[in-house]
Amino acid sequence: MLLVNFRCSKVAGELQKRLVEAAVAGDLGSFGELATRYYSSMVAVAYSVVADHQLAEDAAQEAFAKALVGLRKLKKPARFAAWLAQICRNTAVDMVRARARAVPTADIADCSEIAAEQVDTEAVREVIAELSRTERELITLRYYNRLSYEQVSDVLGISRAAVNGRLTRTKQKLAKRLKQQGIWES
Amino acid sequence: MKSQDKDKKLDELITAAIGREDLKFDFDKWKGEHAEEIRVYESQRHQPGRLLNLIRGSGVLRYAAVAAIVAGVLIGVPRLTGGLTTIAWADVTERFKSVPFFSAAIYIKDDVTNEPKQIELWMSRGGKARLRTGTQVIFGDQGKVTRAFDIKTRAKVEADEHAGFLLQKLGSAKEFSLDSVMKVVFGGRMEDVTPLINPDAVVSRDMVVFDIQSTISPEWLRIWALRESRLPVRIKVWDPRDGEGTDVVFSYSREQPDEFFDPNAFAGLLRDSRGNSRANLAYAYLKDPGGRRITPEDMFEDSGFHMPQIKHVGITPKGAVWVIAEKASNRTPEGRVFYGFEEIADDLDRVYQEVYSSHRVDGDQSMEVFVPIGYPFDGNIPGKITLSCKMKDYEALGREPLVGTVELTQWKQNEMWPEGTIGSSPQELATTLAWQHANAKRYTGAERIIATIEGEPETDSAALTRERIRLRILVSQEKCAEAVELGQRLMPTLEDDYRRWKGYAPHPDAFTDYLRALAYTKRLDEVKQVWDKIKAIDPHIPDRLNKRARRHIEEDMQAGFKNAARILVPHLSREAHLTVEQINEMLQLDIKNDETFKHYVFWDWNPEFEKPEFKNWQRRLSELAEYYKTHPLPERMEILERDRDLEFAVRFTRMPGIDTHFAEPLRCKFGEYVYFYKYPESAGRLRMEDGLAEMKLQHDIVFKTEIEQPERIAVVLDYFGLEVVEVNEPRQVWVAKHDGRKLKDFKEVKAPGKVTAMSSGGLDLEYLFRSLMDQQNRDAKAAGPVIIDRTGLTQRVSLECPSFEGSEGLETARKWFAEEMGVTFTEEVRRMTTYIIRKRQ
Repeated sequence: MLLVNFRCSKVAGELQKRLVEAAVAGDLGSFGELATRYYSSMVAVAYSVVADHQLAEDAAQEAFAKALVGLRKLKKPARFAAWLAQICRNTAVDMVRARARAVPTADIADCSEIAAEQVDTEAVREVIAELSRTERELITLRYYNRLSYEQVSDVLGISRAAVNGRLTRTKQKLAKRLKQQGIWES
Repeated sequence: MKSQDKDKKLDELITAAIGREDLKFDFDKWKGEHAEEIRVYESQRHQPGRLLNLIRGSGVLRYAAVAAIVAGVLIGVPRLTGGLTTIAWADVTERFKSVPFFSAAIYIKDDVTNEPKQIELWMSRGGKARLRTGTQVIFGDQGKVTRAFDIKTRAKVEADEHAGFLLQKLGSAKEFSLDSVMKVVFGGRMEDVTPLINPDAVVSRDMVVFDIQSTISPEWLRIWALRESRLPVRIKVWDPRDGEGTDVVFSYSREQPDEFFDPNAFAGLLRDSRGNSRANLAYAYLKDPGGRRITPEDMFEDSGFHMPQIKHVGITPKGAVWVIAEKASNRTPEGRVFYGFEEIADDLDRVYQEVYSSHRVDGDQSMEVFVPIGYPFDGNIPGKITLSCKMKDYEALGREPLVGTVELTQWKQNEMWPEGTIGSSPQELATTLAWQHANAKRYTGAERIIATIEGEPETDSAALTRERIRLRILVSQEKCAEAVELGQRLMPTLEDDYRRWKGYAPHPDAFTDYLRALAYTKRLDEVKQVWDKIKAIDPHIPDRLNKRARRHIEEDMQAGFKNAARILVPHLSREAHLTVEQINEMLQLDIKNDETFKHYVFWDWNPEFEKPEFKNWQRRLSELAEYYKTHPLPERMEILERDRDLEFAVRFTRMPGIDTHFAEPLRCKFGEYVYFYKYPESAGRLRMEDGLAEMKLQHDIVFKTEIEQPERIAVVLDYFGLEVVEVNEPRQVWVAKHDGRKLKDFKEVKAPGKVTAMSSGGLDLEYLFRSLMDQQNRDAKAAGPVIIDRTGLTQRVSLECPSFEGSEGLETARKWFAEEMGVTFTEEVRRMTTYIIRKRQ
């Protein structure tokens, strides 16, 4: 099993590649290392879909299980995080579908009562929920567990500059909508 | 709040809403809960690789397998045992040998979500082959790559490694047969090929399907062949684990022309840049067996459109792109003719303006000059330019179908056009651009150019143009006093210029800016004097011209004055706020009876005003004005009942002699007027008590000019003793989503039937959705759908807004939004505010 310190991004990238290669070759310990490293990212990805902390953790763990079984299909080790994130996204979407079939109407009413006690926070959540899927995921990745731009870039498979640009635009959009609702002052 | 503080505050808000403390992952616990997955993972270590993985292991190997698949059919398998039905595999391979030519479209897909890589292959029985992959066209003969070209760069290139390998292996196909494929699939063990028992009787009557199942992995291979002709039409390799696969689709035809497989002929096409687009090159010389069109060139043959053939192209030292083309004229189906190229783009993404265009009947030659918007100060030299020929039809709004494009990487750099072709100079190109800048209110650009023109307007025509542009800018910027001063100074020179013979009839357009400036400063007498003075100028017409030519020139001059009036009159009405009578007096016109102005709208008069519904309203306004001579005007608003139901065709206007108030006729149904209460938030969410919506209004509202519609509606509600109650109730909601497809050009998106609105600038989804909600909820019952837009699309998506009335309209809307822009609706029930209008309680 490889033990990795991810402080230096260049070294981290190389070591991560080796971890992925080792995991693909059958080293479960290396997979565990990867899962530990990406746990919070994957929970954030799932949260952007399910909007429920517990369900998001379940989705991330379920995604790891699927990833482990399908690891040999991974073609580009450098894109492991983006590949894992896609599995996680799909798993979370499946969970939402399953939940939508299962949740009775009464539960929805209860939710709205709880929401009334935390107006601003709930309103911010609602505004985030109204963003597009990619915008919502970006915001969640950044703020759910304070991931760095580097980590967000890794999970989304886009450059750091692109993360910065998209985040700025998304925040501007959020601020505008919050302002329309009287929650945010310019 | 400072920007940084604001950002921090926003960060805090978001974190408070969705933030979470550090998460910890317990891998040991996870392992305990996922023992089955770990068992599967560990068991995979010892599995043999699958066919497609083996192929993928080396890119080249993968293409070898594709070659084997194709060649396997080409060469055939000597003998395959198994319970074949009436058609044996050997029959299929034997029949294949006799076709003179086949083409195969090969799609290689790495993964279910990946787009397949496409290779197009054409082979003749004589061993000649041609292949296209990406931008490469590769020629082969007897298994050897003879030449490869890139149709983007139009250069000879090294053949793509994989595609070259594929050609090579196909050429030496004796070594490759279906045996080879099967050996790989079955890990070296030969198995029977058995026909699939196809449950679909209809298909199985026409086709025979052979299946091969791998014994070491779930992968399988299937071959479809026609029963009658015994020719294979499709081969597929599939991995059910992840959708990885390869598809080969065959088609057959007669022999293609020799040029099709001839790299020299193809190289000749590349050298000739005249009108050969990439589509023309990719399929050059290919003939469709059904006689269908394959390339733009084929299409032009049918449609009558063709690409102008470029004869000369160059870029001047100052950066103007000039193009001289032959076969320049195209004709629309309606018979209108358009010439040459319409647009230009380059690899520097610069915006270009056309500053010169002419056409010479002799030789059907078009001559055009385009300049980058920074001309003549933009010193950049592009590496590639793209010329577009579009159908120019000014009567077909928004429709300018592309005839074709030509990409050029070579031209005469730093050279002027051949003498005797383009009749302009670099300075004239610049002043033309300056005019365009001034008209588009890009004043800095215009001034930058005219600042480079020296000389006196009295002696230098370029300097006179400079001053005319300056005058136009001053008038546009409403610096009227300065404009008048400049116009007065220029007047003698403009008169001289008008008088001077230039080879054609003089036009009075040069005076219109000065006339506008005079009118804007209310010097109406001077407008009349100048206009009369210009009309009185007797331009010099050479004695050598005969009587007929003189008459023609006189007619042209009259038309010139008519045209100048056509340009001037709307400015005088809209901007100088002159009445029709004042304009008539100044320019000796009779606007109300002049056909030229029958479609114009003046601030004080509209040809529509002659219709009875306008006359009715004018009479009513006079009655109201009379009434207020003896009654006080309302402080804010008053509603007056009308005793007659007359037809009116206006919204609201001033009453004669009263500037402080408007009068608005109400003669619609109550529901139609009140529908706009709290609009647009209330769109589709307004419900009225029974009978209210249908109540006929026969009233006039008189209100202070500053009062907006919401207040007017509120007063009307109050007048009828009504109130609005907001209730939160479940409503049927359509959540709109976009499937991510690339949107069509909005100009191409038209209504499926009746049109309620159209805009040459395009309509966005917000407009279209609101219109749909209005149409479905016009009965003010709040029973139709409310649309929530989750598409994220803000751009213009359609040229027209369709009519979607009734329940059929809903279905048509669904279909239209899905097909035209990939927008679909999911129905939900959500709680939301409904505005109920009822009797005051």
